Amino acid sequence: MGPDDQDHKRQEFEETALVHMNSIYSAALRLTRNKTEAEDLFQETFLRAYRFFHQFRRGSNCRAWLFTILHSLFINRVRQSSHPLVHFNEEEVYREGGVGTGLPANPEVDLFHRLAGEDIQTALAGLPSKLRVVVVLADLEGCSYREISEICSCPIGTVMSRLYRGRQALRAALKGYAQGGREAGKDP
Amino acid sequence: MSTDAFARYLQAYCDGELEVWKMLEVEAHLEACPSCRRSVEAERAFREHLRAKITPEPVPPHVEERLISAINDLDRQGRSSAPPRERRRAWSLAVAASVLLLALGGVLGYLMAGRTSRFMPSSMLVQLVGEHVRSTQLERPVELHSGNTQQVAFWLQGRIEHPILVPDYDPMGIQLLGGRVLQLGDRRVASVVYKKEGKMLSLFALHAAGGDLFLIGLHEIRRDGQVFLAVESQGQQMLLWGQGEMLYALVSDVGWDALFECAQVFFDGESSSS
Repeated sequence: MGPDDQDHKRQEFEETALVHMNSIYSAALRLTRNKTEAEDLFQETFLRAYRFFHQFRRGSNCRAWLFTILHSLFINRVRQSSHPLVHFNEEEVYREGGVGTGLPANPEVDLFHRLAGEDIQTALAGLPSKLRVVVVLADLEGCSYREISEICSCPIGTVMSRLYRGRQALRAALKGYAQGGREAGKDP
Repeated sequence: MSTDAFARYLQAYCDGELEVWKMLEVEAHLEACPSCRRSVEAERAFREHLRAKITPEPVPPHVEERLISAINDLDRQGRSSAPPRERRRAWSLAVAASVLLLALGGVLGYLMAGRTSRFMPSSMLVQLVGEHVRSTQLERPVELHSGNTQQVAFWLQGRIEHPILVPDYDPMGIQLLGGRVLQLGDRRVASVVYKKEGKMLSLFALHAAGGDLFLIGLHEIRRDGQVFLAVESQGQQMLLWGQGEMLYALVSDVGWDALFECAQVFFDGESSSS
């Protein structure tokens, strides 16, 4: 690659990928719960993206591609850490009714208004990693089911069941907080 | 639609993910069911509440500076790499000298625990080497027997549904035997089989778009903006690289010099065909 090509790659990367820095940083922060780890994850995500920018399909969704890298790095870190991922049986979820058999009650909305952002961060951090990822991507980053399915390399049905379970778990934790209790986090 | 049936669609409805016809069905139910309307309001309020309380945090300046500085370093490394023709031999010898000689289990263990190769499933590396070794033991290692590169490429791309490049190594004394298709997990892998003086070479090609596979190597060798990964396992050398949406792995025991020569021909072929 000549200097002109290098310059072109750099410029294209800045215009296509670096514009998503805030989004990737925020997601890294929500996933890791730790500023130092989030900074490392953020840095590693963009360096990987830059080195493999030639693999990025021009015209496709660069933000989703960056999330894919972020997700892979994050899951890998969790696997390498002393805290294993919490596994749950996806099929069981479907057998049990899949997504959304429980309707939310309205009074909980009032309860949640009493909560501070910090409570929500803590509750989010307490979710199992796989659930946390889909909740962060869907509810905080506004990704579609299809995007999440591609980012996490899993079927859309799995995304839906994880999202449902993630939200239910988050709701349960927040309810506990709002009612004055603190539930311990369950997973990295 | 009953309330029970509606509950199944609540999440997708609030996420705006229902197909139009289903959405209309749900909305018809909502018009008639105050209880489900309250559920929708609660669900939406919960999400809005989450977004409102967890505000996005901008990248701190020192983090952004660190990233830009690291990208600048990568750029400098890229600029300082010498043209391949002049440096190829020194480059390949350096790699050959430094490449990790790993037993099969060692590759697996290193990849699982190592700081690199995180996204290249270690099982896939192991399987590719295994498939190559197995092909050397078969009487008929190919499904399509042909010495015509275009015919083999056409046959394979029809089966893996992605265009692949089948280089012509004939001038190097490497004879094309043909191709076959493997199924590794949920992936179809094209295998092009060559022979050189009794030794076999396998060039594997698999689709790796969407960022699900990366060439992050034990030894990353950059050349002309191209990143290679070199692994030695079971007495076989393996050179991997990405090209477009495809991941290529060349496996043989012909020696590193010959493998790098093959990689060079691959990219020469690519540039002449583009």
